[in-house]
Amino acid sequence: MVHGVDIGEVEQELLEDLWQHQMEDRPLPESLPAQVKAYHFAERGWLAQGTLTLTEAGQVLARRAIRRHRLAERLLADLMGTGRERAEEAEEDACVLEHSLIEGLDEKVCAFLGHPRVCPHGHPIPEGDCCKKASQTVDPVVLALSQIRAGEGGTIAYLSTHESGDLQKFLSMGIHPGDPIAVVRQTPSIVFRCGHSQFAVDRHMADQVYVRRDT
Amino acid sequence: MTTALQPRPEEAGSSQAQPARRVFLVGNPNVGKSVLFNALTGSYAVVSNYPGTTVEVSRGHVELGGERCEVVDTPGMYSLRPITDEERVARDILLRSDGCMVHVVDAKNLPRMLPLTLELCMMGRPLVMALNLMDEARAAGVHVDVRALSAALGVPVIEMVATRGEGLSALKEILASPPPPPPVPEVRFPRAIEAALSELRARAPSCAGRFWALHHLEADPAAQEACPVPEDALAAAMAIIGGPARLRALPADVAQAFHEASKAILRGVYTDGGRWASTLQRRLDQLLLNPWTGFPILGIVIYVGLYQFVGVFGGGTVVNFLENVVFGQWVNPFFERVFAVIVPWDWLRTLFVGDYGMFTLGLRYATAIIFPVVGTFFVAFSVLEDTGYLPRLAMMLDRLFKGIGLNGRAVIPLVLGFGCDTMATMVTRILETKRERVIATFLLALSIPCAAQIGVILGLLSGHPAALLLWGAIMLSIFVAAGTLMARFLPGERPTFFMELPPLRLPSIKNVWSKTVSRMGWYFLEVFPLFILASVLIWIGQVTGLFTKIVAMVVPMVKFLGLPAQAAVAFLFGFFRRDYGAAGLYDLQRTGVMTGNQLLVATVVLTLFLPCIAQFLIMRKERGWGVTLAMSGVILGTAFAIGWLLNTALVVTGVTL
Repeated sequence: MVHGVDIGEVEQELLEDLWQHQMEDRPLPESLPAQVKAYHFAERGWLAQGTLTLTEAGQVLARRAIRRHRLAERLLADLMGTGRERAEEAEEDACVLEHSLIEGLDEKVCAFLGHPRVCPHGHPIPEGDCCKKASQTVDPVVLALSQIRAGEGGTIAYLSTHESGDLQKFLSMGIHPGDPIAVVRQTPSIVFRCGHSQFAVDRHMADQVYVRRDT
Repeated sequence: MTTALQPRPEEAGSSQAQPARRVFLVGNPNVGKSVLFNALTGSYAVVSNYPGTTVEVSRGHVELGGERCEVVDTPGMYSLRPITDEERVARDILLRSDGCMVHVVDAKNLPRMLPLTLELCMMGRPLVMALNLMDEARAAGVHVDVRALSAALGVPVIEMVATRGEGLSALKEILASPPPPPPVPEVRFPRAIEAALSELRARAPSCAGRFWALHHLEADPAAQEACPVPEDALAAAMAIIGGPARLRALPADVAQAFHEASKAILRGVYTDGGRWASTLQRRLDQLLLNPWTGFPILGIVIYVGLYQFVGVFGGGTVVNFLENVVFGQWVNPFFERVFAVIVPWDWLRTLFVGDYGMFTLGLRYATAIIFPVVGTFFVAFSVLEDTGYLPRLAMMLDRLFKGIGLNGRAVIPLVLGFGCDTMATMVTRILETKRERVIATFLLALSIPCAAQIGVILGLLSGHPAALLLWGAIMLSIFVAAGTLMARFLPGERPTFFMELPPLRLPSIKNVWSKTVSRMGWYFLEVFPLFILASVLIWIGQVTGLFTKIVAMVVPMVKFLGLPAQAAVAFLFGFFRRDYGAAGLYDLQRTGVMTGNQLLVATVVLTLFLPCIAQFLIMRKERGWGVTLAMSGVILGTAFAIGWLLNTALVVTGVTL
């Protein structure tokens, strides 16, 4: 039960598909038009009549579903995942977990993770009320390399790259999940140490390396 | 393993005619490959252009077991899945030829480098590992069980300190009778990839080796060239892997598999003491990486390295000596006397010893004016290169460079441009995107004066410090303005910055020397014929009267810029080489024909002017006719427009310099 509207798992996933189509230009599954009809999306006021465009009400619900899904992915990836392989398995688990993140709990998870902005695949996580307040009360477990102070370090948790070319750059230089890493400088560019080598990267690249900090 | 690597026909042909054995040095950048190359060959590298491209590939010879073998030093690469053009060249050299490979490895960073060793093992060719930089590894507390490593890989492993010649004789001994190809390493890929590999190998038995099969799956064009497979077989194998998302992830999955396999091998073989650099190194590093200290250090480097060493010493002391003493007193009078005797006809004699004679002008410009400046610059550049300063500069400047559409890595070609723009244009291939290569090529052609030019310009404006300062400010503004405009309007991928910072090292005099010698050799081959050609063309022009006509045509353009008519000759030279043009001005300045204002306008226009013929040809080779001609048009227009604006501004404000 979410905000008094009865939404099942299938509906939530359909809403997510529609959101990703509308906001992120991703293709719609072929089966979707038939499904939204079967679940009476238009009649429930989520879709504008005769179209596949989310109404305002539909957008609110879809946004919340996406947020929960991506937070769930982050939770799994940050806490358990090490490599890409795991991150992909985590996607399936995330689908299960997201439906357990009842209203309110997702805010706690969000704060626990340090109000992350992207999911492990690099897609943006829609902001919640908690992010707007930006009350970073809990120190996040996993941080992007660009957010770690100089002199601190940890273990590479995962590489979340938007482009496979960037990922290949990291891997061919021998930077892999599970390796220890330490930040030497943050300005004017980020300098980090991995093994016995030092590398310099810009913020864009450093935003893609997620590090589990030493505790 | 039967993955026979088929050499290209022309290479096979040459090796059949003379069965010279070849040894290829392979490895990451900064692992001491070129030091090892020099130690092995004992000679200066013969820097040759790789066919079809222009990346420097050094070749030399070594005596192995009484047999003369060729040693090839390939450009640095991180994996057989190339990202930059440079890496692509290195990889193609390996794939297309035959011979024993020596994987040069930084011992302390073995975990990062072993995946490439495994990839090389898969190629099924004789392989030796040179475990180099053992001194640094020991200092870092790293221990490598060489015997266990060698046994695990099936590859001879030799501990080396190439800079001190340690391990050299052991390496030569092994290479004298190359080892058999190593066994196929145990690398387990994710299930879908393994299934696709089996499918491809079953359907296309000609591609029985895992190596090519893997490269086929990665859609590597080199694989199709080396051992073609039917399209339907490839399609069937690809289908097993999955949709486009899975295929995109393939290179990463493959890299991860190599990484895992190498980790398994290193367990118990490699132990890390975890000591990171000496305190001195670390402190120096902090100073270089911190902008508050780094920029002042850059200032010192520019002042000492560029201004004092290249400008004052190379461009002043040495040029004066060569110009006035060597040429003025000995060389020119000698040739004048010789040709007065052997060539009685005045019209022919001017070809050799006239105002524009081959010896009195061509040879003099090339050796007395250009050589000292370029030579000292290459010494300074090699020192900077070997210390590891340049990547740190790249790190510091990255953010500023983003504003002109480049990333920090571009400092290498741009700094090299201050030595030779032609060479720098070739080096733009270390940049990853086409957009960056175009921007860097244009900026080099428009606004970076080469060492020869700087030398001449420093000499020209030496009596006019204000003009020199203004010249610098104008060039810098144009550089920034042109870069900013291109960054804004040129479509394409945004640049990203990722660079290894090699440890700070003291440069070895031997290495600096051999690098300088090989660069100078290249430079002379490039420049010298052009100077002689220019002399000959001008001579023909003079004898036929064409020269005066062309000069007469250029005169109005020169007058338009408020310059004396005599400067037209210098501008005409400028079409051959910008520095040649500037050197032409040199003679005018000495006779006091030009005022400070005119010198400033002339130097600005000549600096911006079209690049020299050599650079033009390289631009065409690297960027194609369309881009090159478009750039040339823009450059010519900009040069004259800025010259006119500058002259007008000087006239209107009534400033005299």
